Amino acid sequence: MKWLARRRAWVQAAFLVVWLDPLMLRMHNVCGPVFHCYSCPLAAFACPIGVLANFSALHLFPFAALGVLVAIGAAVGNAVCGWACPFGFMQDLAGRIPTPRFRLPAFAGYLRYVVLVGMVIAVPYLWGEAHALFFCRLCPAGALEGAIPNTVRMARAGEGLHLPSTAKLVVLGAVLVTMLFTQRPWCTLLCPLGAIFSLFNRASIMTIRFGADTCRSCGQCDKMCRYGVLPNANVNNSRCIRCLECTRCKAISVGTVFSPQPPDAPSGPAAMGCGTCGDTEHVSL
Amino acid sequence: MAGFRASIQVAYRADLGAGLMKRAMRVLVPSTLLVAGVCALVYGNAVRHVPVLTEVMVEKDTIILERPPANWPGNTGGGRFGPGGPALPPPPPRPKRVKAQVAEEQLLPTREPQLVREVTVGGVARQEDGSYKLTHRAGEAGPALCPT
Repeated sequence: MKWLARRRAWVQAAFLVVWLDPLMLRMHNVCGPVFHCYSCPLAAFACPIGVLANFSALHLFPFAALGVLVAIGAAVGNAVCGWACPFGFMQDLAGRIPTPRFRLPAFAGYLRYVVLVGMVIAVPYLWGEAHALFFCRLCPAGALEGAIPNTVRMARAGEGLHLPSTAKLVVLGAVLVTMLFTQRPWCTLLCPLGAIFSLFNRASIMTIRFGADTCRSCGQCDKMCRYGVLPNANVNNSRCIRCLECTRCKAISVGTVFSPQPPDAPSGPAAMGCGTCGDTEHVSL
Repeated sequence: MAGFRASIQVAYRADLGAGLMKRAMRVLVPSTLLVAGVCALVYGNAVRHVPVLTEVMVEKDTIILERPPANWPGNTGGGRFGPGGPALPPPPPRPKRVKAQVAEEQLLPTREPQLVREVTVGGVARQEDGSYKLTHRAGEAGPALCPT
């Protein structure tokens, strides 16, 4: 898995090709597992969050959409965010731009659940899809992948200029700017789909294992993680997108719940920041 | 001493039991969730139907009243009073039984995949009485984009 972790960007690009519907099948009756607006001219599947929000507005329980999310979440947890999501891929690419980066506090991740419960479920259920806080009316993925391309397409076809709403463009602009100064701001702060998948990190078949007997408390895994997770403290943290960068350390590995587990990890963060672990056999960087 | 050994054995068995329980939960919980997700997916795609009011074109026997032709002889004043005489009133319209395409609202069971497709373009609306209605005629393309 270590060689795959080094090529994560290629896997993300391969998934992007799938979501962009190369065969022009337009299977919008199938709910996909990633954050990709179905109004995108190249969308292969329906966006699960859009389906959840619209079904909530219709007062219908979304069996098919939830079934997809629960099945995939139970299988791989938040790995969908780290390996398949096109919006996350875009943020990872922006993360490679050499700008000063700051880490968001851990508690900021709870805002995702507020967005999920509020804007995806409660607002549509109570006030319908016409409400200003209906999630799709503010979604940055919808603005970037659907509204803007369709605005351009309609203008070129002579159908007039129909600009997206100001609120939608403001949210998109804020996400695009924030991407330059922190890693995956949308995923960390506001993504409702990430909020759903993060619940499965502790209850998925795929699991990250931490070998406390192998760990030398050097803190390198903390430096390797770009998303503010402390692998040596809580390796299946809900904020972890399972990018597997930390598996470059031999103490951390990927496995399944069916394989024997190593001894439990020590509680609390291990010694960090010493930077003296130069044992290249222990940590292959 | 025997009591001490017994307490150690009980503690060992309890610890072993707790470890087995923990391991079992670690396997059971994700497996159960996976099965539940697959079941929900199968149910939503294959079993579940939601009644939706849909406008369909049906062929029905209907009666139309034919208008008299515009150039019927009475218009020219060429009736029994001869040319130049007063124009006769047109004959009453004659009913004619024909088959015509008529728009009719029917409550059709709609599968969830179709509902998923319709909500992506705002093709389904919930009415005040709680029923659902398709916002376009069945068989037509429907709206092209999500209304948001």
